Amino acid sequence: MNRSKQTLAKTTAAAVMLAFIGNASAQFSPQTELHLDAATRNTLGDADLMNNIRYYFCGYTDNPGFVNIVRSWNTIKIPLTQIAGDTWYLGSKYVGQYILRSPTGFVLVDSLNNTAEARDLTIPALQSLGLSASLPLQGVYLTHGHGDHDGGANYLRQTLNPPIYLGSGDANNKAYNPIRIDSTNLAPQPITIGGRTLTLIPTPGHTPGTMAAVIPVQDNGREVNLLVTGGSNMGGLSTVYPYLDSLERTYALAKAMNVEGGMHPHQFFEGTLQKILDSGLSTPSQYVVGNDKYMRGLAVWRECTAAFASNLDATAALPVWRASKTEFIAASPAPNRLAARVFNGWGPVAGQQVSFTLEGRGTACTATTDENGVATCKSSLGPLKGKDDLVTATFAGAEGSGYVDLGSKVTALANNGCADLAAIRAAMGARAGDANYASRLDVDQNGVIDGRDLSSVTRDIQPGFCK
Amino acid sequence: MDSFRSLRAAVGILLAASCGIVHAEVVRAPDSKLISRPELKFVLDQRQSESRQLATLLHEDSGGKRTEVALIEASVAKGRARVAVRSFAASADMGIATLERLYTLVLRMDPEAGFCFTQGTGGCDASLGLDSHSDALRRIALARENALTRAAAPGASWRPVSMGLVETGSRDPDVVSVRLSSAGVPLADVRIFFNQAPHSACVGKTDADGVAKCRLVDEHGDEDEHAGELRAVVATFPGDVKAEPVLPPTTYIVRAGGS
Repeated sequence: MNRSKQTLAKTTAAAVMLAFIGNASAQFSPQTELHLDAATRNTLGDADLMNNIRYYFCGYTDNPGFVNIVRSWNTIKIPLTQIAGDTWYLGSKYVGQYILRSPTGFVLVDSLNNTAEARDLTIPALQSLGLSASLPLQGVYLTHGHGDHDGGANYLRQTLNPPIYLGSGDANNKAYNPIRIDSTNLAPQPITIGGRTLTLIPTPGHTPGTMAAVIPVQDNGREVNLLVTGGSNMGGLSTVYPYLDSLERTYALAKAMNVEGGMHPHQFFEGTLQKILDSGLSTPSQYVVGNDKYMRGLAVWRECTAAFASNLDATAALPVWRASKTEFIAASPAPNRLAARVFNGWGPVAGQQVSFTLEGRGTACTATTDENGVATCKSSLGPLKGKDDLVTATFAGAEGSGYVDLGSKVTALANNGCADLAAIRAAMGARAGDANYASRLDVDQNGVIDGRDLSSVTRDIQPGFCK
Repeated sequence: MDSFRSLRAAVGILLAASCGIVHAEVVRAPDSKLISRPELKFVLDQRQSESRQLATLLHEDSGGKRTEVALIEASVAKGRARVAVRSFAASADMGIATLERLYTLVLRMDPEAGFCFTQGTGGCDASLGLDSHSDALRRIALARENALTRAAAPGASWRPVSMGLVETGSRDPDVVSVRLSSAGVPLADVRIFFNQAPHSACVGKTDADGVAKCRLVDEHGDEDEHAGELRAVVATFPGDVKAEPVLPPTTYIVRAGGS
């Protein structure tokens, strides 16, 4: 199927799914609605998160018909497609594998549907990338033991004989004799294959042996951590709770390891691959979305899972996860002023502490957010050095009755505010949603960049300082 | 996020045996709308080895002192998961709270397992046979009702529902149905969730006779890797906490698994 037909298929699918959503609303319990709504709010209006993660993962609850459509995508083959400096996707629009190349050989994430695909797709792809005695297949990491992920493993075992890693919960009766990763040890388990260290984390739920992994890849001259998540559908009562717990642990790992993007074997859940198919690989890669956005996507997924659990179990009492965003407001961080705003899909996060730290120097100051979610303070370490001091504003997160406010942070070089002043002048009249609108420049958060924002920032800058 | 972890390993991953390494952790017991006294704090001490999983439910008082009030032990015998649940809370008040916590925990466990629920010091007598998941839940619910009556304690009454087989009227093996009733009266307009491992599901709404019917759809669609395997079909009643009496959630094995 060519690209225009694929686009048409997706558009048609979207129309069908919207119809489902239209019919599905109001049939859920208040608790389920609460989590579905939270998933939407956690996108903060980001179209990628809304149209992919929110759409599909919450679709298991509010639009189950989507599964019939995406399953048909198994016949739409995706050729070998580079997604980062050393990483490729191969398979179909429905499910695929990732190929990682290093100076010493290859690592595969998943093995496609069956022997025929491993023989006719994987092996030629590896050969085209240089598979040889000196550049061998050094290992295969399987996200879980379902056939659309491990169907080609036995062929790979018979032809190239790499070590094949699988969670022990799925490993019984597998002809390819996998190396078992202990599924009962829920702590992260690093394994090194061909010099590349994958941080595996058992995530039981979709299957007992499902494993996620943080994988370092090369992109735009630097190493970036991407997260491979395994299963997607959530099953029944006995599996959705482990699934939810696994997702929460995955969130913690992704935060701790500064994961900047995802590589789901069912790529449509993230929707990143389509961007590369549409317009080519960018620099940096479209897969590198940044930790802030990736974490928000996981929070969306978590809320979709909580909605699914609440739908299946009316007695579920799961707190709502609210993903926050922290941003420096205009003319900050400046030599004499540190100011950041914390907000989420529900509005400003008020009454919470924000700490400002200077790289290599320590905490400059801590302040509490006001009713607008803005925390402001002056550095106790003396005036910041413009373009030298790297400042991080951190909201650590908080818990309330029935909800968890997830932490967030932002990092920027100290500046004198003149660039922001110029940006406000250039964006005068821009409204939320316009391309030249930036939330951080909208000091009073009235949805438009106007004279009041200009006056506010002007007051914060030394008179005559900016030419 | 650790504080939001709940009993996980013993709930549904009963068969995930591994390398004999023992893993242990203490987590907060999961919350539920069935809990009548949420101010009473409970934690779970979970231990897992190759052959069995043990979860001890402990009450934690305001001074941090922990007292064991129940034990859940999961093991595998002859290919079938077996779960022994024992409640041994000392006071009537604590007994009610413990049983509510146990209901929440057992609800999340493998519905295909065989269960044994006892109270007090007595252990399980396997020779008497094992209960189904729904029977075990019913026993816990009834034990709570009895404790409520004995203690003359305030608290919402629970009435367990029943699900039973009903002819689908279809030759299609993927068409599934159950009849839902409470105290012999059909429950209409209730959604029943049907699930078949690894990833087939559908939802049916009960009619005036309490019958819910739908056709299982494979949500995943991998290439027939499970052909020849007979997997259990589980029906889930999600519960109704607004009803009086409360109708707690439960499951029912519509079709048993096997090879």
